[in-house]
Amino acid sequence: MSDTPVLEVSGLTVEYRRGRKRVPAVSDVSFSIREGETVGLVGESGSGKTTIGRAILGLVPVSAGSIVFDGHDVTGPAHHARRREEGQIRAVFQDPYSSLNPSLPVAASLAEECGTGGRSREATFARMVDLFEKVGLPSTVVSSYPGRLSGGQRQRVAIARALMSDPRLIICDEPVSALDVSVQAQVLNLLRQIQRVRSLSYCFVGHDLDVVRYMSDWIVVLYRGHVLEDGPARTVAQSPRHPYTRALVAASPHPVVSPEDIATRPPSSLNAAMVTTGCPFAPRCPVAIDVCWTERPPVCTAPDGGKVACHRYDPVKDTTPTAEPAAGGSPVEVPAPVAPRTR
Amino acid sequence: MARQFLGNRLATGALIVLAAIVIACAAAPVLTSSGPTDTSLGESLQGPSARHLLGTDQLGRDLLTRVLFGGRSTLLHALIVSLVAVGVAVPLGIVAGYVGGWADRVIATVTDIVMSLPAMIVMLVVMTAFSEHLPVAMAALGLILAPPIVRNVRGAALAVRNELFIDAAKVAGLSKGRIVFRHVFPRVLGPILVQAALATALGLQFAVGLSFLGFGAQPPSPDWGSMISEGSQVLNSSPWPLLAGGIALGLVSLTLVLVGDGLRDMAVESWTGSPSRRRRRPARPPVMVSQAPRSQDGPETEKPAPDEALLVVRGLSVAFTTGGTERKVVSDLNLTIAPGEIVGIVGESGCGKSSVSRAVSRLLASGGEIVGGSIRFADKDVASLKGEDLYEYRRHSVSYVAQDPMTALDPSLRVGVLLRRIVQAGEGLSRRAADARVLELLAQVQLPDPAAVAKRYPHELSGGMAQRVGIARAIATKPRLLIADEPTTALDVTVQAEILGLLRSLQQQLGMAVLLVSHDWGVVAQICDRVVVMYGGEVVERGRLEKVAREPAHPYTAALLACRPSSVVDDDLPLPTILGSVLSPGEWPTGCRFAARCTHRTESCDAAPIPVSAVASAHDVRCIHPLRDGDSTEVTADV
Repeated sequence: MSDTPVLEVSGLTVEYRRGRKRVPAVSDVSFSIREGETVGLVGESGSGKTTIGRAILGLVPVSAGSIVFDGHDVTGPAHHARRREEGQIRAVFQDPYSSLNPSLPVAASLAEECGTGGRSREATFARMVDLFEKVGLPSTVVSSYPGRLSGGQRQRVAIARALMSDPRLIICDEPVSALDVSVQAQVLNLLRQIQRVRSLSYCFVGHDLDVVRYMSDWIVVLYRGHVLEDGPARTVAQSPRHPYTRALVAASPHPVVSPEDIATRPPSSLNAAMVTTGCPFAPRCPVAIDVCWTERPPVCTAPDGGKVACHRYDPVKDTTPTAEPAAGGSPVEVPAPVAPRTR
Repeated sequence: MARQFLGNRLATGALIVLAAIVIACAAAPVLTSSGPTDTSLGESLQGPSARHLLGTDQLGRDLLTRVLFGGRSTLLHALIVSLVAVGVAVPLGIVAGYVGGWADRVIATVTDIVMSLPAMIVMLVVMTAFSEHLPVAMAALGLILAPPIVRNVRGAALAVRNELFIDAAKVAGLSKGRIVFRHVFPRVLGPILVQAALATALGLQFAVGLSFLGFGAQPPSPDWGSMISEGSQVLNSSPWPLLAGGIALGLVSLTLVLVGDGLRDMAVESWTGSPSRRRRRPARPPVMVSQAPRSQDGPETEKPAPDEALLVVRGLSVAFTTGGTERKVVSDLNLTIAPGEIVGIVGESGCGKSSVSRAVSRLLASGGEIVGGSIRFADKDVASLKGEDLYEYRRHSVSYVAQDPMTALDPSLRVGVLLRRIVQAGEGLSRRAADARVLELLAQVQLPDPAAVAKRYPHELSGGMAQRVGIARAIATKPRLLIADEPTTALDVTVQAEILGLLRSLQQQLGMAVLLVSHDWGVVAQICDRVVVMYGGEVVERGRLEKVAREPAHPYTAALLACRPSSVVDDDLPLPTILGSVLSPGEWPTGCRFAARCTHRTESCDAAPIPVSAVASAHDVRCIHPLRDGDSTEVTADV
C-alpha cells in the first residue's frame, strides 16, 4: 500500500431535483482512497452512500466539491469520457440480476469494456477466458445468457467485467447484499484476493457493518448524506464514537444474542424527521441535547486520525456518552461459534 | 431463436399460411392461367369447381385469380402502413423513453394530439386529396396509427433506462447511440414485433375498408375491398364473391396476430430460457397421505406431547410441476411447533424453507402441491381443508407476513381501510368499532401516531413502517400461528432489529406461536427458541437455538455459521466458505445431500439415505459423522 491517494473526494455535494425543490442527497462528504486500500461507505438506505459511488462513476451530476482521480480533476462531465476510455474506474453493482443485460450473451457484455479500438477479437476473448478462470467460472459461461446463471455466478461475471480494462479503482456498490450468506463469503474472498494480486483500490458501499468492516481499511459512516464518523475500520466497528455508529453495531445481527438486549431497544428509526439546522441524527439519537437540534456539530479529529461529528464527543475520553444502560445490561455476546480455518 | 419459434406450433402454422398467401399473391401472374379481368359471361356466378376453385363473379371472372391479384395491392398497402407506423414510432418511442426530459414532453404532446384525431374521418379527407396516389394515403394512415406504438415503445424503453446494465455500459464508456442500439433496442424488440404485426393487421382492415367505400382499386382491376363490395351486391345469387375476399382478409389478419405473438415469445424466451406462456399443468387429484410418519426424519426429541402441539407436520413432501415434470422441493419433513413457541427455519435459497411455510399456510404457488405427509394444526388436517374450512383456518389459525412489505400491501387502499376490511370480515363489527380496533392494532405494532398512519397509502410509508402495517394485518385476526417469511430481508439492519424486537414482544403479549423463515442465521438467532436447519429439501439439524448455534453438529450448520463476516476472528484471513453451490431440486443424490460440498465426506455418506439421530437431548442431526463438542470444522476457503 503506497501513500499516494488514488482518489480524493472533497466537499462532495449532490442534489436531486424533486419538482422545483433541490433535495440534497450527499452534503459535503470528503475522503480519500490510497492505492491498494479499501474505503467502506456504510449507512442505511437514504444515507447517500450509493449516490457517492455513482458520482465517482460520473453517473450523477455533482453540485459542489471535487473528485480528483490520480491527480486529475474528474468532477465535470467533460472529464468522464476520457477517464472511462482509459478504463481506470469500474463498478460492480448491487443487483447481479439487473447489472447484466439479459438479452446479450455474457461475452458481448464483457467485450463492451474494451471499447472499439485496441484489442482484436481473439485477444479480447482470450482475456475473458483468463479472467473467468481467475474469478472461478468455467469458460463455457462466456457464451451463456445471464438468465441461466445463479446469483453468485452473475456477480463473478460482473467482477470479471470490471477487471476487463485493468482498472485501478473499483466501486463495489453493495456487491453481496443480494446473495446468500455462503455465496457472499465466496464473493468477498474473491474481491480481496484480486485486490491483493493487483493492488487495486476499492470503494466498498454497504449497509451491513460486519461486511464493510471485513472488507475495508477505513470506514465512512453516513446518515442522510452527512458524514457522522470516519476512521480505521476496526475502531469504527468495535469502539464506535458516534451514537449512530453504535446503533448500527448494536443492530448488526449476530448468531447469538441475549433476548433482553433486543427487547429493550426503542424503535428509533420511526422518529426520522428531517432536521435542517442541527445534527441530522438528533431525532433518533438517544443522547441528544438541546444544541443538537439547533447547531450543526463540529467535526473533531480523534487521536487515530478518525473524525467524528457530534456535540457530545469528548476528545479527552475519545468517546461519546452512551444512553443510560439497561439494568444488568451485559454487552452483546459475540462468540465465534466455529473457529474459521483456512487450508 | 428459430427453434423457440418453431416450438410454438400455432405461430409456425400461421407463419406458413401467411407466407403461402403472400407468395401466391406475389406470383399471381405465374400461378394463374387467366388474367384478373378476363370475363366469361357464360360462367357468371358459379360455385367452386375444378375449373374455378373459388367459383366466379357476376362477370364470370375467376375469383381465385382476382383474390391473388387483388391481394397484391391490398397487402402492399397494409405493408406500407405498417412500415411507416413502426418506422416512425420506434425511434420516437426510444428517444422519448430513454432520453426523456424535453424530448419526451414534446413527443408526448404530439402523440396525444394525433391520437385525439378521428382516424376514419382524417383518412377520408386524405383519400379524397390523394385518390390518385394510394401509397401516399397509406403512408399518411401509417402516421395516424403510430402514436399508440410510440407509447408502447416509450414505456418499454423507460423501464430499461433504470436498469443497472445501462449504468454499466455508461461506465464502460459506450456512446449513447451504441447503448440504445445494443441494450435498449433488443429489450423493446418484443413489444415492437407485436405492435408491427398488429399495425399490419390494422392497416389491412383500413385498406380493405377504404376500398370497400370506393377509394381503392378502380374497376375492373381487383382488390379485396372492392371484391367484398361487389360480392355484397350479389349475395342473394351467390355467396362466393363475398366469401373469397372475406376469407382472404380474415385469414391474413388472424395469421398476422398469431405470428406477432409467436415472435414476441421467441424474443423473450431466447434470453430468459423460460417459456413466457405458462403451460397448463395436467389436473390431478391431490394425494393426501395422512398415514403414520415414516421413520426417515427420525423421532423429534423433546417435542411437546401431540395433544399439546399446535402444529404437527409429519413426512411432508412438496413438489412443483413444470412442463409435465415433477420436482420435489421438500421431502419427508417433520416439524412440531408448540403454542407460543418461536421456531426458525434457516437455510440457503433453494433449500425448500419457503415451500414449507407456504404449505403450512396453504399458499403454495401455482404448480406446487403437497404430495405426501400430513400437516395437522390443533388436531385438524390442514392439507385437506377446503372452502369454508380453509377460509376459517386462514382467518383464525395462521397469518402470513411476507418478505417485501411494499408489494404485500394493496397500493390502492389507505392503511386504515385495508386493516378495517380485515377486522370487519366475518366479525360483523360496526364501522366505529372496527376503526377503533384498527387504531389499537397500529398502536400495538408501535407506530407513532396511529391515526395519521391509518390515513396514508402504502407508498407513503417507509419500508419499516410498511412492515409494521403488514404485521398489524397479520395479528388482526388473532392468529395462533404467525408465519413470517424473510420478514426483514428488504430492510436496513437497524430497522430489522426493531422489527424482530416487535415480533418478539407481540409474541409474548399475544401468546401466539411464530414460524420465522430466513436465510440469515443472525436474524433467526435474534428471537427464536428452536431452530430447524434445512438443506436440499430436508431437515439436517434441529434443536434449541443456543445448542445449535454454539455446538452445531451438522457440517452444513457449522459452515453457515462460520461464513458470516461477524463470526470472523481475524479480518486478515479469508472467510470460510462452503464449496460449490446448492443442488437444485431433482439433482439430489440417494445418500447425504450435502456430501458433495462437505469436508467430512466418506464413502458411507453416499451409500444410503442418512437417518436423523439425536446428538444430545433436544438436538437432532442428519449426519453420520456429526461434529462433536469441541470438534473443529474444516471449512475450506475456495477461491
